[in-house]
Amino acid sequence: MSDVGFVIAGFTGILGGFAVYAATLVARLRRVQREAAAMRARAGGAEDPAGHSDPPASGAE
Amino acid sequence: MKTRILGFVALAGIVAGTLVSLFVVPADVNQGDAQRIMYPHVASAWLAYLSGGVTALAGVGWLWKRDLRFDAVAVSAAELGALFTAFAIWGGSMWGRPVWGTFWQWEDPRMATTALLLALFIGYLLLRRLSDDPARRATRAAVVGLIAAADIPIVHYSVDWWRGLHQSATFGSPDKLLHPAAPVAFVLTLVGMLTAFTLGWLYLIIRRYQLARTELQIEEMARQGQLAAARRRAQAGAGLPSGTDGIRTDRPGMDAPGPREALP
Repeated sequence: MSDVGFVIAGFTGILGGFAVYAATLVARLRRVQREAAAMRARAGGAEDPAGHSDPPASGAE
Repeated sequence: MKTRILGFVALAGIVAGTLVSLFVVPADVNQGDAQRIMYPHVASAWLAYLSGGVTALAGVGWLWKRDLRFDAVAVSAAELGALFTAFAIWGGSMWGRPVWGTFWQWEDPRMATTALLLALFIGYLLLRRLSDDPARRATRAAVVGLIAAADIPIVHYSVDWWRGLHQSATFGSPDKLLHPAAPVAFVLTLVGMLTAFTLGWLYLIIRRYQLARTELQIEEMARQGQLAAARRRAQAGAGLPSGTDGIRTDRPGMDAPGPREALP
């Protein structure tokens, strides 16, 4: 493999890993935030017969 | 919203840094194009050090204050530490093959101690899976975090303390920083890449910390849910009036969060 091939492999490995990790992390965060909101809603529904509960989280922000 | 802006700024910086590294700065006279890998490689190594330092400091914060927010910072930094140590090793190997003629050499102190650092970060993350008790998990992890941090100066100074394949630091002292051996264009590109990667690291650690805090809240809600279900079963079984459930709450993992393990 030429020097350029190693340069491409080096950059692709690092930047690709960076991008995949960031995307996976944001997806994990959104999923867990939805799960927490659902648990809060269930707990609120069980304690509050009127059905009042916290609004679900909208996303990563 | 501010975190999202930080993410976009970091992304723009990394894209710009990559384009400059690949297409703008000239190739090194001796190393040729392979030298371009140094820009993300050095940035990754710096962030591996930073992650290790933050993991250790946050671990000390947990041991001192017993506040689980410190543990959330520690696990976030450790995960990024594993990631950036792996990036540094990958970049170094891709540079080493054309320049040194080998991807890896176990006899080299820098490479061996960096591999040890990666193993410590992975061990830190695996150790956390052994316990469901947040306080016990945080204490064990803090100890491993401190051991990982102790390896960082050994990694950094290994090139000065022992003879090996890896060269000494290009900017390892104030004198080298003021009078760098590399051309100014190389130095500026490296500083730009370091800045962009650090902004990216900052974005990732904020998101990872948010994830760790939310996971803690879910764990606590699940624990409270199990406790409430146990109380209902006990009341139904013993015919106790509401509020006198007869369930002990002084066992580890059954009590509400107190000052020793305050939830974020």
